[in-house]
Amino acid sequence: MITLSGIRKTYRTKEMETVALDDVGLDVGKGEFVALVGPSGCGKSSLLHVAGLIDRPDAGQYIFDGEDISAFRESRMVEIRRQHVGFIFQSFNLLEDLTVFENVELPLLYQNVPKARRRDRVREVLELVGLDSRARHRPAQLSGGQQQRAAVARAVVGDPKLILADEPTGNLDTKNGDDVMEMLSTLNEQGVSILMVTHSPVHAARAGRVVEMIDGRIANAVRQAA
Amino acid sequence: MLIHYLDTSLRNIWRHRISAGLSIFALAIGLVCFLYALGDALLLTQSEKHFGKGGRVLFVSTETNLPNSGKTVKTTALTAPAPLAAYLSSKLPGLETVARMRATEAVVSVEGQHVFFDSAYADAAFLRVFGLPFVHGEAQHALDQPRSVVLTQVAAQRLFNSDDVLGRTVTVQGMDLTVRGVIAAVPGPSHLARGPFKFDVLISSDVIEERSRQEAGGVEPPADWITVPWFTYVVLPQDGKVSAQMVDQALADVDRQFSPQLAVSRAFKARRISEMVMILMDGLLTHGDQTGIRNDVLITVLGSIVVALACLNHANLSAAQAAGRTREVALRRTLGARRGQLIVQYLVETALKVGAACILAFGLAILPLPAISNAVGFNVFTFYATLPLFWVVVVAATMFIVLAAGFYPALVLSRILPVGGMRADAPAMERQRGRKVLVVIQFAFVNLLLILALVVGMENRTLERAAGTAVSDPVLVITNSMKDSGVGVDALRSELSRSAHIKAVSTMAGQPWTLSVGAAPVQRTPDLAEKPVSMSLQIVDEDFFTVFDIKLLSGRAFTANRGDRVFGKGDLDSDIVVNLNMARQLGWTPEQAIGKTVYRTSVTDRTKAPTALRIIGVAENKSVKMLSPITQSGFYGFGPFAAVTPVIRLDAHNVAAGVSDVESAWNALAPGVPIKRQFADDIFRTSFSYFNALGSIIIVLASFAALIAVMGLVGMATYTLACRQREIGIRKAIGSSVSQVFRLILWSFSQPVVMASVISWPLAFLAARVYLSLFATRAALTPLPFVIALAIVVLVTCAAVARQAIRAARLNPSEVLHYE
Repeated sequence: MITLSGIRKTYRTKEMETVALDDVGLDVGKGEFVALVGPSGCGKSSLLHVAGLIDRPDAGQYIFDGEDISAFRESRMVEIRRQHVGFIFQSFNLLEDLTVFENVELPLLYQNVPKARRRDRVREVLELVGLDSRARHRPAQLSGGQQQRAAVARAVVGDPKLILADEPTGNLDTKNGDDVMEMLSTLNEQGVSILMVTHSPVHAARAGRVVEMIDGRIANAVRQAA
Repeated sequence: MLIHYLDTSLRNIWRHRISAGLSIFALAIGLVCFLYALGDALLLTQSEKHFGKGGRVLFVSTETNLPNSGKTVKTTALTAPAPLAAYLSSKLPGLETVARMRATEAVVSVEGQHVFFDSAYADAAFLRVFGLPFVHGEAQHALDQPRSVVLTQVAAQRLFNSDDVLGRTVTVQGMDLTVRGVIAAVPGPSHLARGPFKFDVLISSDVIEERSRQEAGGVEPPADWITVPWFTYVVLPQDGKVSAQMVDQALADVDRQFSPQLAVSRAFKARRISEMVMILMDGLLTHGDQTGIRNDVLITVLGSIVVALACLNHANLSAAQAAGRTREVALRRTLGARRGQLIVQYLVETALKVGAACILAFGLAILPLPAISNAVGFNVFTFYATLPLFWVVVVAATMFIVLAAGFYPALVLSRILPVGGMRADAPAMERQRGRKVLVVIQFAFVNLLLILALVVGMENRTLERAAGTAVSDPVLVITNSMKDSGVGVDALRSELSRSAHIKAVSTMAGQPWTLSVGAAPVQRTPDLAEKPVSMSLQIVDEDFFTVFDIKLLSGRAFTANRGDRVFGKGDLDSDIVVNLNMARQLGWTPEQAIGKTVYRTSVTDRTKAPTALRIIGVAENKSVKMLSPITQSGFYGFGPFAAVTPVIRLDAHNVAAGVSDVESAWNALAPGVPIKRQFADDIFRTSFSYFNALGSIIIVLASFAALIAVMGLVGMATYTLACRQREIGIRKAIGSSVSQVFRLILWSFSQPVVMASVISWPLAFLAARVYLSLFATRAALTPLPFVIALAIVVLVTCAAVARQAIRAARLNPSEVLHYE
């Protein structure tokens, strides 16, 4: 699904340079579930941002679904992100002013999906994550687990080929964390590629492959039994 | 998508309702200022639209270039020479109509009753230029017959207690005239409803021509191409066969043909009638040709500055809010929103606020309209409501305001990168700089307006002082035409000299403290090659300096029995008194100037040798003129024949008795003519009211501008300090005291305000100098208004942000650093 090779990313301030990604290479195959693990500050989130096209690397090649998109313009990147990538964040990142329904609807709005189709699709995914009865609620009226389920619904509503999850269970209790992981596994079984950053060895164990990062480099990759 | 934009915008407005409310209120204030400025400008430019032929009517103006130190000073008269109308008719027979009108004051007598009216002489065709609102009589032909008169309903009621007075006789200047029409008041905002054009009695022009013949001994006087007493109107034909350019071409060589000897260059120009009121107002406010400033432009610019401040305020507040919306915008971008979509979303939000501001502004602007309509005499609401240009400008301005107020914050928001939601340090610093620039621009405007308001106020106080200290006793001015009243100046002087309550009597050309400007070109040698300098000129009779208590620094005043030579009498030399400025400009002390001779260049004949002016006295720089835009140097000419406005200094201890003596003397000399008298102070107040009003307008605009800027600052302080909580917490944790943090915050907000003041100073200095240069008595342009304005804005700034600064300075570090 995606192939990243020789990726470098450096953050610069007036005083210093911090190398976040140093010659990183990573493949995520179609339908593959990859867990990215490592200590804080090792570059996991930076790699996720580059993979999700919300940040550009300083150097390296990025092939997305067979197409080299390294030199694509910003507008083309937005198109790919809009059509094919879904995001799930640790802190949910739901818009407080919008209802659950409207939060989930947002990616479809930006894709200019007609209203009727939009509504049907949003209802469908809300039912899938068990939040159809909470559609008119605001994020603040939901529990953490429910908020993350809404975030999952928002990530999958546009039928993405790739889901990027940045510590999706980090703010949840065990029960809700397991529920979210169950949802991700189900999506993966349906053919969606998943790249997940996690600190939890238990949740990492549910991935097909675990990639460990240290100091901005890939330390090792372990393929696990399904 | 639009519904989503609207929905999101409404929610954001509600979420930030306090700052949105401030923005909306500031925009509304700015819009009210703009609407009134626009309304005023349109009132000037669209003033004749209600006349059917308004679009085809031109008038002829006379532009004269007076020589001044090798350069020229242009003055514009709205009038033209008497024979010009006949010349145009014969030169361009295709013109639909050419007609003249000449303003005057007339005593109209009916059966022993004598009443003063604003009057005008008019050609018969004048009624075919403007469709006057006739109540009785033939609207287009009421002046066709000789010795005809048209009265307004007000005049008819006053003279006859009736409107229906066709065929009745009135007497003007000893001639019996027949009433052939009665009109209602001319509707505003036409030039015919204001100032020098307003009339209650319209007299057929043959009456003044017959009088001129009588004065010339029964023969036709020679055509006078030099003086310009007639408003001359031209109606272009409907078929378009004669254009305004053709009229201009016909006017181009008039002076070459008829006054080749004229020393000054003149140009006659055909202008749209819609410019009439505007030029009149320009002359009053800015003496437009000297400064190049147009009244409508000046007012619109001032109004636009306030609305621009409101836009800046909105942009600033919104950009400050953008810091709090970083996460939201980053997330939207992550979910696939394009930059363009975010810009449109934010512009929709701005459009909603501007829309709300428009509704509020119209509500506020409409409130005083009934009172304004009453004051100006026409329905102002209907005038604007039915004026398409007004709505076109308002819609265009509203769209512009949306862009001006919304584009910068939209740009700031849309530049937030998806990943920037997490790493916002660098863009936040950039936005901080942008906001500072906006604050600087905002307060530079405020400071400029404040300085101008202070300078106008200082000049007004200077003028008031000049008028108040001009003379310790009241001065009574008789404004009747002495010639028309049949009163001799010497006879009046002799009658008044008997009164114990009158201290001195003199005469002058024109009236004191009016807005008229008189000047004459003067040079040091009789050499025609020398470039003359324009000097302010006042024609006076003997005792003028005593009446107005003007001290002579050397030499003496005019005295008829010492044989002082009269100014402007043919080519003869004359004696003059110069003011201290003129003596100094010529390089003389008051003592040195006495007995020296300067030369006056002829303005009517360039080949004529200049006439000698011998200086017999030097007077202090005290003026009874309001305006003197060309120079403060000037001289007095001795002119008992030209100075026909009696000015009488009464004894301050018994003013009533003095006035009574003046009235008795007048009644004895002119029993049939009611006296028209005014105190010089009252004339001053009338002229002064214009500048007082201007000062008030600038003060109001400055106050609004300051209010808007302060609201912006308060809003910005709220957001900025909220964003700086962590920084303040760290400062306090490492040992900074409350007062140190408080001072730091105040300085961070005062810094751009001080910078703004300094930036505005050069422009304010130039504007103040141009304004002060209009006046005969000028306030000194000291650093004081600049320093006061700076002090005001800094104090206001500190007061505006003090509350938030104290709250931020008292912050408990543990609260804000807790989450770290």
